[in-house]
Amino acid sequence: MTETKGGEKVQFIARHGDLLIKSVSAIPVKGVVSVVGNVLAVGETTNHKHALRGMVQMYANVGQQEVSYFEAKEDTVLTHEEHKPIEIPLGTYQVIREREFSPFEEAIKQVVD
Amino acid sequence: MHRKMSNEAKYIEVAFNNHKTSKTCTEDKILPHLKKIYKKLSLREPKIVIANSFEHQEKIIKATANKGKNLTEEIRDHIRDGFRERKEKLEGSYPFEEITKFMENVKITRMLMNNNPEEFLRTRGGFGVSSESWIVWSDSLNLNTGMHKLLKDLYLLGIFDIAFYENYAFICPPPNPILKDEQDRYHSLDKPAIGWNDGTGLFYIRGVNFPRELWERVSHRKLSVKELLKLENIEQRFIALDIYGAEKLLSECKAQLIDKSERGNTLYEICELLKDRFGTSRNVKLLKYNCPSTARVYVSFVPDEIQTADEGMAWKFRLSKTEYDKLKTEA
Repeated sequence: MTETKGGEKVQFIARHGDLLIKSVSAIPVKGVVSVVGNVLAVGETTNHKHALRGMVQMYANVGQQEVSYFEAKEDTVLTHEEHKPIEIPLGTYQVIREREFSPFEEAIKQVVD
Repeated sequence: MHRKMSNEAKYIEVAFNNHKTSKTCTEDKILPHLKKIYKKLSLREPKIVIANSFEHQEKIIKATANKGKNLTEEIRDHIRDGFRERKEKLEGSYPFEEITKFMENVKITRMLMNNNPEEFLRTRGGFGVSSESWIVWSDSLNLNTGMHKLLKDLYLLGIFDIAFYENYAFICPPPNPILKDEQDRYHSLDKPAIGWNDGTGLFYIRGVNFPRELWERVSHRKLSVKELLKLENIEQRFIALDIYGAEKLLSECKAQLIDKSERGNTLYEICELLKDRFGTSRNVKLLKYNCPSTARVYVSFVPDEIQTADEGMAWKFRLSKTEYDKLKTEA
């Protein structure tokens, strides 16, 4: 929880294109590994990047390459070639990727951009 | 310290401009540079083969007998040695953020180069499929000596890619023309946006890359509604939808409006798009929504149980409707 309104803690939630950033109380202790870098996601057909500018530590779920959590060690900014920048306050966050339903395959799939 | 993308653009432009002004990569210009590189590898000068295009270069390489060993690894070893030395000097004395950026570039480029060189070429827009990224880094890190300098000078003659073998150097000239839209994105609806004289190239619409066959169908509006909605990549789907027209598509598949929210999300039901295994029409729900930064219109299917447009958007990001109502920061 990173924002405070009149003493009440409010969860930080922000959408940045096909990513959603949600504050969490802590990074999970198990099931994640640290990842070097500052890029949360790269578009396959455009090579555009959702990148954090500031001191961050990123984490991925074990066995996966995609960043699932990150810790902003200071106030940071989430940037992208097309989306407007979003200010991310110091804190711990979960990264959620946009999904969609495929009626052709009767399956829920992560959006590919 | 230079920023990576601006450097990348700079080198690509140098290569392209050289080509446009007829400073093409002729054998007599290339040979002195190649001699120095091969001497550093303790080899004799190679024969030079200049291809017509990137695809042509690949074909010639496959067809050439007695080309000898591929030297990519040897050359990379020289590059790595230079980087290792420089990185060791940087560590401890350089800002953490710069080291992080450097490592991120290394990671992304390695991943693309090793796993999918074609994808690397497409997404990076070219300029030395095996070498473009280190040119940028070497410049950023002031690595302007040894093999780094020799290779950089060679590429800047106006070369798109080189495949180094013991007995041959296979060279691909820069593409021409390079077509872009008013926002400086690779773009063409009637030929490759990055093309060579033999008609081959890379196909883009407003900066989004397409395989040739799909590009033809999208740019000539030959994609059916079902094919369009089935496109896996959402950026390709957006481009196809934009060319086709969102309202036309909705009208053609007889979409029924279910709900429209104040946030601009719209939920439709489509009855005749799909049939189940018994041949009966199956109703599906389609969400139309905008990107808050670019105002682009996207469409995405949502599960049958979704009742409202905002509920559909909440589902897409694994939020409850209450959480979605609280989501105010969107870009």
